Amino acid sequence: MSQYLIGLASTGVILSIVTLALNVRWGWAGEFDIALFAFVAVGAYIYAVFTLPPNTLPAPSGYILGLKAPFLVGVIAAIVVTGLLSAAVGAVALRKLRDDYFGITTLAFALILALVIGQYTPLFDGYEGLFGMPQPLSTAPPFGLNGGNFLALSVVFLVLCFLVLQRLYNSPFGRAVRSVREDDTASAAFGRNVYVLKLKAYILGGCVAGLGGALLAAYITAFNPYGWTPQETFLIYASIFIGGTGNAIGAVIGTFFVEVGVQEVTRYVPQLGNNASSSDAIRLVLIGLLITAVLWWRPQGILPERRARDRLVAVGGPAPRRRALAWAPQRGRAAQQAEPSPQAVAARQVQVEALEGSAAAERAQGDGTVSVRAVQLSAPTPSAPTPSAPTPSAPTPSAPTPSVIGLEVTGLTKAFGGVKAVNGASLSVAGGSLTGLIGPNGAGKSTMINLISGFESPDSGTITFAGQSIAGKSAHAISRLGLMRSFQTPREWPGLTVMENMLLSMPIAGREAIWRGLITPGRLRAAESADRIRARALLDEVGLLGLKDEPAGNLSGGQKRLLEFARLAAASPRLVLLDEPQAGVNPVLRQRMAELIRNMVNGGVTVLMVEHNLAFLESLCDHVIVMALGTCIAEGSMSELRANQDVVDAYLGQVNVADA
Amino acid sequence: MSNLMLGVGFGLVTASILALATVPLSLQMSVARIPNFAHGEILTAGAYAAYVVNQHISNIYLEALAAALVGGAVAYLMNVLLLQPFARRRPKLLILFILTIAASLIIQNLILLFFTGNSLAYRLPPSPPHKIGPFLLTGLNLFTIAAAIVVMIAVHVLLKYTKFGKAQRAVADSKDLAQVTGINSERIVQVTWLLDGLIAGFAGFLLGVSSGTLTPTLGQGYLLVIFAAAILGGIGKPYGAMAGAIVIGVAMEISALYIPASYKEVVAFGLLILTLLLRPNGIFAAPRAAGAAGATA
Repeated sequence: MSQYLIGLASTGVILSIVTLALNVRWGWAGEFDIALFAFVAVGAYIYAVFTLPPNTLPAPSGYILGLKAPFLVGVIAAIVVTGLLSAAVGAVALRKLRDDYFGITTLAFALILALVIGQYTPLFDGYEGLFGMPQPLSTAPPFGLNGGNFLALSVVFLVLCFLVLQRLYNSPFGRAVRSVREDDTASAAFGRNVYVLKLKAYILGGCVAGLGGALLAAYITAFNPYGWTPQETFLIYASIFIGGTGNAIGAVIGTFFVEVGVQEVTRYVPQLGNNASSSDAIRLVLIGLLITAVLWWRPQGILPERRARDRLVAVGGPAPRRRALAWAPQRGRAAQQAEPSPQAVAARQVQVEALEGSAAAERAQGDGTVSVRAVQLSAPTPSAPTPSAPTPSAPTPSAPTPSVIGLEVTGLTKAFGGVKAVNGASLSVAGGSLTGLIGPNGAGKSTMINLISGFESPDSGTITFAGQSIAGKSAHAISRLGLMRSFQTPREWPGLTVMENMLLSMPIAGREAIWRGLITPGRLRAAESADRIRARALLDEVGLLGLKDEPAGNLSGGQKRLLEFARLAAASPRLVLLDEPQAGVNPVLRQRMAELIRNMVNGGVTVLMVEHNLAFLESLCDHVIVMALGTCIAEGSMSELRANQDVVDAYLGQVNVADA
Repeated sequence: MSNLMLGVGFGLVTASILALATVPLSLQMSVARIPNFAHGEILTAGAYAAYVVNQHISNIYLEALAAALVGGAVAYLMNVLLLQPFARRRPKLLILFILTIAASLIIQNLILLFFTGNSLAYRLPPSPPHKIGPFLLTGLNLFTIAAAIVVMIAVHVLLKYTKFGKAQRAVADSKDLAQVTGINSERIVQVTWLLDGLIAGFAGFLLGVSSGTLTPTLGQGYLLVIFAAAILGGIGKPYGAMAGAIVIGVAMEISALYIPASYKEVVAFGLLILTLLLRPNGIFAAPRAAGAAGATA
């Protein structure tokens, strides 16, 4: 290979690593980070000052360290330092900022860094930059002295990077990060600490960018702040948009297309007059037009993000023999192991083939039947798989079990500006009950739900659940206690498949640790197979099994409602807040949902339901609380409430605003 | 003390240019709501247009007019050709932001293509500095301050007392609601972009002559300072933008008295980050949680 081609390939390979870094931040987590190239630059500088000999430049020029360390030490130092810097920048910028403001903040950080490094010469020799960094293997066989060895080394790093990131992408951690991109509110509602997940993705991306920077410095053997502008980051974005956001192979293809292909094509454009920058200018205009065209005609890019396939990994015996076994398809019966949910109230034989449909073909021979204990949406229902089976007509007051937990709210207040949306409201929900919450629009019902579930924090008042005060706790912490909620408009993760939505709704159980996804993916997958089987059973019950591999965003409104119920059941909650579950639901589905809610209660879950459909409410709830003007004004059975003049005035008649 | 007052004087000049660059951005963001990354390029285009006129006829008013017209054309076309077609599909805000980045790449590099990357000297005939109160200001300085005051008053009158201003404020409040009450929202947005470009192009002219040299990255280098002023004053609030511009402009010039002048942008960027973190709705808004339901702290 000629030196020229080796140079092109090296550029493409190293920048591909940088693109993979951005793909973690933008493609996985949806963070519109403009500072990316600053992290590449820092990686390059750190590699340089670790591997260069001690500084001999006269003051005020100079550089720090000068450790003359070996290549690998320099690379590792670059990764560590950019990771730390990412943690610092991300910890500040990822706090409650709108997406575009986040981008602007990262840009400000990058520019400050560039200014300081350029101006403060004792650090990295200012605008002069550093040069003479050692390139490893540059004088050794086997690929000759013209950079072939280093190209081979870069390819090894790219492949390593690719494999590690793919492994993480497919792990529960990667899935959780993608859920944040799709709908962070839903992620918080299902127990994810959105801030920490975003920060982890930001740091992970930063580490990869640092690696790219180190390789870049070793390849060019020189680095200065002039080669470092926001434009560099935009070129990486162009690579991602064109290659396919969220698709690692697309990222590599896009990089070669934008950073090598377009560059080479425009190189042959003759220079315009005496304008030395004309080919650069044409290249960048072209790339700007390409970004626009891709966003218009093919926003998903050349290679769209791959849809997660739902595969079962059967596990033999109670103690799986590590990864090798977990990867290999197993014959015969496999018993689910690990984490039997305390909510497991029913067991049934599930013919995997029947549930999987065509997915069964994925498995070797497809001759295995799997015996599972599936937690169902329904409490003790007949084992008949048809969901239309008759269910108890009224919620029978179930005997209190240790898992049945109520809710106590006292003196809760929340004001928005001058409006007191909730004004000293108190209510209590008995454990195991199905309680309704009604009231006119603006009574504060939704704010109440938001306060209890931690999406708003109260100005004053107490909320007690499961023996502890939860007022002011964050949404994800409350969710993890088993207090879950639904939303007026169902919130799913639209770009993820129905099955992924289900898996994300299940208790996290420590599976989303990065190291687990990295080191024991096989064991995770095996443990998850049980979840998948349970998820299939739940989806089967709501009639969505056939759609399990569809993006949830493609479902109809009614299907999204059903999915929401299946997800809530998957979460094994102890108490559920339903916010107008009937909104926008047709009459047939309504009956089905009444059944589902009843089954939820019969299964030992406490339910507090906001609803305007009084007939529906009456058919389900024995106890109803009425809110008006931010307080709870009455409670009792619906027939008692109908006789209550206050309730008639507030809800059935007119609100007397003057009372406020 | 007199040094400090000189700093304040320079600060007022910087603030005037900054206000002229910031108010149109804020105006646009109140109506079209697009964080426009190509805003700097509108300034650059204006500056280069003035330079071209200057090469033929040296007349400050004609130069300013050319800058405004070219800036207006660039902004108007960017909206009509690029942003509006996308906006009709109701994409995520971030997609529109990314489109303005693409537009910034295209415009900046078209300028690079036609004018090369060499810095062009652009100087008006020198005028002796006048001593006005404690300040020491050149004729250009005085022209800049006067122009800023005139434009700010004009914007105020336009927003407050004309039918367009009323419609504009209605669209700013709710595009769809304005549409159903018979206001042609798209038209209002178009005119706003035109207005945005006219003022920003003029600001570009002043930025160009006050820095004395033009490069294709003139406006982009100034973009984050503009955003700092806009966000400090509260995005989408033209009056806040004026105040934000004064705070940032004066802070930058005064800081230059105490720290190396090359770091003065760091002051602006630092203020930007602080504002976003502490008062994301601007220093004049009541401090409250940025996100509505859904934000997780």
